[in-house]
Amino acid sequence: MTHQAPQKSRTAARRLVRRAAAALSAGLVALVLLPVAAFADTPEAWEDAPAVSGLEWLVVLFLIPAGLFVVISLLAALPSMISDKGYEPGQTWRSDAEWFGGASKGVDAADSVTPAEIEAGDAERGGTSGKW
Amino acid sequence: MPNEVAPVASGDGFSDDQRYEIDRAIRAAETVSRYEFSVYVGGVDAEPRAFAERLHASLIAPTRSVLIMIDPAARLLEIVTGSVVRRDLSDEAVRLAAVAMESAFAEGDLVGGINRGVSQLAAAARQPQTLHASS
Repeated sequence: MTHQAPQKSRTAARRLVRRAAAALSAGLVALVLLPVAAFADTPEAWEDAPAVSGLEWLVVLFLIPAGLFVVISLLAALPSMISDKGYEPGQTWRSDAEWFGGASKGVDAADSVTPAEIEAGDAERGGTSGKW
Repeated sequence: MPNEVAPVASGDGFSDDQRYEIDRAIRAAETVSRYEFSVYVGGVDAEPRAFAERLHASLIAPTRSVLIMIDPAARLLEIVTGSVVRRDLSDEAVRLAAVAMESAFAEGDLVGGINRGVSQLAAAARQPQTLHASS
């Protein structure tokens, strides 16, 4: 008597689980099969769609979009391709020396300066040196 | 050593835009500090400090000039200040500007580093306007 009550409740629980599983599978089947009703034929009153050849399909769906892609990306890249970018970060310097605000004779003027002139001209000069 | 490398294409140097940018930074610095600024970018074929001092000595008014020499290939930076400039622009301030430039150069930003260094030197060399002159 005392151990019959739990058994009864266990069978009730099992029944409940089985019923839930059945309901769930029925729902799933209905979900998959019901839209079949939507696959209707084109109405009779409609004109027949013109036949599309394989080549036409390829051109419209792939070649024209690809062509547009190429043209647009070319147009986008063109300004930076045309302009002179000059020195770009990270490049090694391969060009001639440039002197901004330098002597009018350029670097040659520095070559003609004698050590005596350097000493006499400005012994009190300062500054710093660095590497990176 | 830089002489071994023949100058290849002009595209490797500065573009007109970059030159304009550096010129503008120099002009702004000269307006701010009332000293002459000069920037040399290129190869150094001698001892760098001596070469920088020679460049500095060949300027029109060396005592009132700041010369910045950069060798991007050898990764060298030299800043030479004239004796008159030095009264306003201490070597410590020059060192600070040099560090700012070096960090920009290390990132590969040559033009940005030059602009930053020139403007920082000019700001440090600027003599504050005295509103109350002490007798």
